[in-house]
Amino acid sequence: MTGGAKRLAGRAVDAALTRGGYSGPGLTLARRSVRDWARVRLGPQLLRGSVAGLAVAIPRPGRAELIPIEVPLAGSGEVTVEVLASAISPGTERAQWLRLPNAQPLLPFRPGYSGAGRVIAVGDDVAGLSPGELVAVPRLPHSSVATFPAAWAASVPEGVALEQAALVYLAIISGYGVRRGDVSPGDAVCVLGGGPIGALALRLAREAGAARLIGVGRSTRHEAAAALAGAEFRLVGAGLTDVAADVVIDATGDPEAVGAAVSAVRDGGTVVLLGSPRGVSSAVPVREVQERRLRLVGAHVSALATEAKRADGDPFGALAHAFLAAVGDGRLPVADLVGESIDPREVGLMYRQLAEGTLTAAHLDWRRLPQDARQRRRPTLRGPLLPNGPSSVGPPVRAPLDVSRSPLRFAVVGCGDIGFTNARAVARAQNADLVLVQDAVPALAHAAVAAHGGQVVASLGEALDPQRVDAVLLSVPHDLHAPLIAQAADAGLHIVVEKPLASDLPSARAAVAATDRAGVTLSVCFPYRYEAAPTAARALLTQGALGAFRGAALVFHAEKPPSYWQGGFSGRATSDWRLSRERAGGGVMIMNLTHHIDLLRYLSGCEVIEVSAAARQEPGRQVEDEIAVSVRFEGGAVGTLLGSASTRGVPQSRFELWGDLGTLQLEPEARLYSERALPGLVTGRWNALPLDLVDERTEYLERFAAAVLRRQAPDVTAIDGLAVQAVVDAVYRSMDSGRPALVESVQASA
Amino acid sequence: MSAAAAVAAIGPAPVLVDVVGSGRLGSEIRRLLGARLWATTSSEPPDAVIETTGETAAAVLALERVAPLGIVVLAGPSGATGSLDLYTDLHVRGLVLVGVPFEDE
Repeated sequence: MTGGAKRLAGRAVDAALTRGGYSGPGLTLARRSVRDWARVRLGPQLLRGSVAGLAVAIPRPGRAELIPIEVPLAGSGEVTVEVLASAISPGTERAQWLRLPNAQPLLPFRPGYSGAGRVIAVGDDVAGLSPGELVAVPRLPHSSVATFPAAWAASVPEGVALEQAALVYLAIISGYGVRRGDVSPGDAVCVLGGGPIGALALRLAREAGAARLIGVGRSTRHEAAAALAGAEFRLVGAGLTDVAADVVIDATGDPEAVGAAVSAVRDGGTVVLLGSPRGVSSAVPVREVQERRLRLVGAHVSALATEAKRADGDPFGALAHAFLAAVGDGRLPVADLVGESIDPREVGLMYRQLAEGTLTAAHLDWRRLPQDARQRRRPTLRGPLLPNGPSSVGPPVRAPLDVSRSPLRFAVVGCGDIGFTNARAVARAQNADLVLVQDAVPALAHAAVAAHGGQVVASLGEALDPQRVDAVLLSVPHDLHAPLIAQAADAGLHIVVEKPLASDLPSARAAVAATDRAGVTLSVCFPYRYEAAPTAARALLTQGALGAFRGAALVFHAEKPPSYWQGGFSGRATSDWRLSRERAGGGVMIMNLTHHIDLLRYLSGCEVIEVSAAARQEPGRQVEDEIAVSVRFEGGAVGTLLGSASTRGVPQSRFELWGDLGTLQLEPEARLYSERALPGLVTGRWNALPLDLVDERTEYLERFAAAVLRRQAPDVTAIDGLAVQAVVDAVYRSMDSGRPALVESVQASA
Repeated sequence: MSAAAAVAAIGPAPVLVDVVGSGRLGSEIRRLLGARLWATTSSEPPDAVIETTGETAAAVLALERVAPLGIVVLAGPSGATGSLDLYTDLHVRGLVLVGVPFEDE
């Protein structure tokens, strides 16, 4: 391909990727994937085919993810391996993640050190390796498949676990440090640093014949690892001048540890700098080095590569084979160094734990991925495998409804704005019958019956006839909720009340007390729970998709026209009760945000414990049009709720909830991001949540009816209604007083 | 004494050695090195550098000039401590820094 053609092709690829939603580091990774694909498919390797898998990538600081990769099958002098375990080098990978000095690779970056797996293909001219053989491979990025020079692979002796074999590169690094120290039989060797590199250095020094070993670590948790090498253990800061080691190996990576290393070595001895110092050493004891005739030896593994270029032999291979042989015949125990088995899909979480110090040793276990995700042969020409775009979580699976029982007979009281909609939901419910319909304005009741069925009755008393109905659905002005609930309870009917439970908390409590006395079921209509996205999200959240709850942000926008205040959105029932604080209880908070408060509780599993609110209301209205609320949840999470009834143009609302492992967004997009590996989720990516149209009110009523028919508690209980009502009352107390309000205090005084 | 010890610290391998410092110690070391003295016209870096000035900056320069896996001998009257980027100056290139006590001869 000519240079001009390449540029044209590059522009076409970029345009296609940009159209596909890729940008920034994601675009770079995608472009690289296309280039790799082109190299595999359009080059001379076309005949060889390729293998697809997954690899860890760090596209930007603080983010790690699995990306699809496609590697050519082994060519001349090469071998292709299905990686089953890859070792984490805690010091280096932590430093790379934190971008510490001397550990700032260009981004995007493919991390990884060392692994082990099964050979799946060998080049024609490769001897001594065959498909199916288990090999350890140094210098391997974290990936499920890799093709590399066959000389890198070292056979894993029988009986050596793959995660132990995967430590091979760490062992090479440590072994090189021991070698650079010229450790001789009978020497005293002191190793600073209790991580895997330090522990391996101690054990390999013993292999080299060291007679006395001293391990120095920051914490007593390194003591057991030192003991396995037969070493005595000391804590950092304990004083090392009496050690007088022939060789001191500094495996800390701390630039200031050189002083301690020098203090631990005998006159004329050797200090090996094995761990990469993450910064400048401010006080290298130069005079002491001179006066005591010390040797400071740099032992970065790249120096071994320099040696390899100069020497005829293969120093990497020699160290790898020596390590594997020692592990194989039991001389070198390493089972304690493999650390936690990590699902590669949780690599972002792993790096964070590594950075926080809560994880000190680990390996990625690629066997935890489905087989077809970690290794798929691609023998035929096909399109490139791009980094995943948003994936999709399947629609929520609901338990089938039992319709064998007799339906629950409903009366619908109130047929204005939402009452008309509620009557339709009852009519549609498979396990409910719309029997009686009543409204103070008979024309509204007749319209509802004409549309949805049932029979109009003139009075409330007739509607609450326990001989004719089992339950009532109340859709009336808020101040009528409590008295009508009490009246229906007295009649022995089960009750669904349109949200809120009542106009204030004392009224709500009185209503609940009435239902408790009557032994009937009361539920508040919070149907948002039954929409497809919240249902799917809830299922994932209960599996820990977000981890520990940390925060929520919610913005609700509406533009209620002037006519709304006289007749609701539909204008079917003329009444100004919505303008009255006494009758409605409030404005946009109680009228709309109650849905969101319920949803926050439902999804987070946490109650609001404190609120601080400020509001704005239009002249001539007693209720707020705009309200801003800061909330604190039990457990420490915080959130903001912003509601408006008068936003011109009605921008999209927002609903976001996040924890330490992920984020849920229901609006403006329904999607979930999680660092947990969960069925149906792509870890470390935004997963689209289902947006299937659900008749959520009908769903809610069917589940209410099913619960009542089975004599079980409904999904949304009176307790839920009271909890939401308490938050609303606290918000209004704060709004009125200008001070934060504790929900508990509101409950105590109600 | 210092000059002989500094040359001995490099070892017997046939390496080319550069010497930093034009004082008496440096001159004596150059004399002892003979044919092993690195030629300033060489296109290859020296395998070893003997630093005789005692200046930290000169020691850093010596570490930068020496070939990978090379040796730097500190033989001059050094200060008590120095600030070094051990990663860049020593670790990553596999250098060896050897101390030889300074004695005013």
